[in-house]
Amino acid sequence: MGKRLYLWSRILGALALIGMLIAPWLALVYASVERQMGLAQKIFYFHVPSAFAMYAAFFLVFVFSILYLVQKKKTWDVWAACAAEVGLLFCTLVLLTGPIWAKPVWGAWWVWDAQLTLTLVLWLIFVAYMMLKSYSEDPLQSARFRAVLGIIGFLDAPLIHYSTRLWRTQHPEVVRADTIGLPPDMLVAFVFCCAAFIVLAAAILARRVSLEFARDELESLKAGFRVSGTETPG
Amino acid sequence: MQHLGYMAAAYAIIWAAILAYFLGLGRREREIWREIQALRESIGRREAGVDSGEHK
Repeated sequence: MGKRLYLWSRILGALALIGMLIAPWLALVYASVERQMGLAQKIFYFHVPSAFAMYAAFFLVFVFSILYLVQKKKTWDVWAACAAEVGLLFCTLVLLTGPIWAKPVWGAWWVWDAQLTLTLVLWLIFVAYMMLKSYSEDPLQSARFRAVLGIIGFLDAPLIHYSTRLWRTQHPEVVRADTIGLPPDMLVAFVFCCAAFIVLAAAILARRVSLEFARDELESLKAGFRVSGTETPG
Repeated sequence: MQHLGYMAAAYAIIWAAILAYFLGLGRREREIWREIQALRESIGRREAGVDSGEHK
């Protein structure tokens, strides 16, 4: 499984690289400049796809965490932890690019609006998740706690997405399932950027999981080496 | 060219963060390969020791 996953990580990585080279051209050159926000609106093409990649990664954490709690297989915990790391990376990108877009448009780097605050809460939940992974002494207990935290954490994601409808927020609702309020050239650039970011997230996840499997294999080899002799490598 | 600086900053941050993450991942991969190499060398040394013991 490790070798196949590594191969997949290479294929997805190549696709992501191509996508991430085309995406800036579509966003910066092909898509027209929005009249009111000017060039600041171009941040949208990387900010919103980062949010979608974040949702996808945290959804995987949710699914793998449930599978871990039901089946108690370590593989699911590895997948969940790696997906959490990928989700945290994209959540960080959302939280960094959002204020840069907000400053010229709203006149403030940050407002304590429902969508922004809930995104910050989600980021903090998954920072706690990663800390639990790094600092816990009992790996089984840590995996169980993290699975529960991963499930609870994901419940925040739909709240973030629908917060613009549930509460009066300053954050605009650009993407809805029924209507996407974008002209055709912007829509093409936006859809392509979303696809590129999803492929990038999948490539990172595959590479991260294959790395984790390689580490597990190495640890079991080391354990076998120690059992069969007194010499220890490294 | 309204708000060019903000746009450039946002894109630079995204590329820098993704690049930094990949570099970190690469570093972790290299560490594992180094350990695997050390393990292989130790196994080789041990096998060579066993072989020479058998010949005696």
